[in-house]
Amino acid sequence: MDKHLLICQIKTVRDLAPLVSGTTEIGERNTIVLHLKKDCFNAMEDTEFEQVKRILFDPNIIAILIIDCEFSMSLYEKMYVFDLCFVSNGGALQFDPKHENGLRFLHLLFSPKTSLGKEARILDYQELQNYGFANAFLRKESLIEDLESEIRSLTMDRTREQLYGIKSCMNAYKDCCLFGKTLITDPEPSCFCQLALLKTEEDKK
Amino acid sequence: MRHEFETIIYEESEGIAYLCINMPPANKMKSQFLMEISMVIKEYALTTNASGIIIYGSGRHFSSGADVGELLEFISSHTIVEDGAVTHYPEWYLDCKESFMQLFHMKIPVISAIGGFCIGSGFELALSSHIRICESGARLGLPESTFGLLPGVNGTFRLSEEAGFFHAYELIVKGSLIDSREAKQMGMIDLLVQRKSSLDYARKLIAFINEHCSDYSFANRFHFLDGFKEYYFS
Repeated sequence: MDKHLLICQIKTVRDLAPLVSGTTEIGERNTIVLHLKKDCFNAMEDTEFEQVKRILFDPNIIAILIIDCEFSMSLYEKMYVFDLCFVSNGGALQFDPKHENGLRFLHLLFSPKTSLGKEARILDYQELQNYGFANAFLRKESLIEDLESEIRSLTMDRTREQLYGIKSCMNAYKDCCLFGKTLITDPEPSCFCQLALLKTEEDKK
Repeated sequence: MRHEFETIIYEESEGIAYLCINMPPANKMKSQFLMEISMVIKEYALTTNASGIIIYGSGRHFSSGADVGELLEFISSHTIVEDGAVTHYPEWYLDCKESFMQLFHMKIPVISAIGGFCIGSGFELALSSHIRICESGARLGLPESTFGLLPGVNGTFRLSEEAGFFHAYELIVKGSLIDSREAKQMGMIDLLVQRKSSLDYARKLIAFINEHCSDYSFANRFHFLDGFKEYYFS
């Protein structure tokens, strides 16, 4: 497995404890993957979630969620701390059109213009994919290989500074769109110009 | 009224304002364009009495994006960094960013009629409009990451709003170009039409909006777009 990749299997809220307490050894890893095998995010206290958010929101980290369980709309209210969401064979959404906040986050994170209708139902992993509610599907039987392939395809030739800049911008805009905060300092100009300078220097060598 | 600049043609005709990106064949955006577009938006588009604005590219393509080599040189020579922080930005860059956002906040419909390539800062200009009508066979995307950069003119923010944060992140990091059909599925464009017909449909849409309402706003644009689709496509 790629040494830059840290995968945490989450079956109970106790499995989140190392992330919550900050004792997870991240080290050189720049990609953290939470493989959710049980929908236990809601069992976290707010303070615990804030700690997990602090780690996953770090612009030096690519944060990936793999949904491999049946889950409720409430997960969307916390899923924004990730950069990407994959779904595996066990992934299925208990779609509830009356869960307004979950629906709002679902639209903002994946598919602002998709209408899911008014009927509560279960959407399996194929339907989640068809609706665009996942970045990719990872086959259960080759999950790690599929995951590594997706990450390679995503980050190939991207510099640390680029990934940092893109995520810094994303985080700032998530705060605005998801929580209605005013964007006081747009990070885009600074990130863009700094990358331009780095690229110019690089091209001169 | 018609004003022809070095890289842009601005024209008002029959109550519609047209902003034509005019650097054929691919409408590659040189620094001259990035300066002219801010001026045209601020001096003409923002003060127009037209009932709508249409942005399009001359010839086959909307725009193949910025001339990266020239852009890098221009930014490097006009940016000052002190102690690791940018203390001075190129003025034209901040003007461009601001003018794109001002276009986005206009109270009349702003429609991009897209054909061919619509990429990089070209796509960011299209994202600054309210509605994107795109021809089949078009290619869209933000490939700045493949040049060592990231989208610099509100592209990250606007693409996230149109396609969702997770898909926007993936597209921006990968720098992928996608075709018009996939762009429609992802919500990056609003209406998919036949080749060479986007400009015509953009005119029809503005006429439709004018005929059916007096309270157009960005927030209710889909109400009119849905009505338009039902009228012309069902």
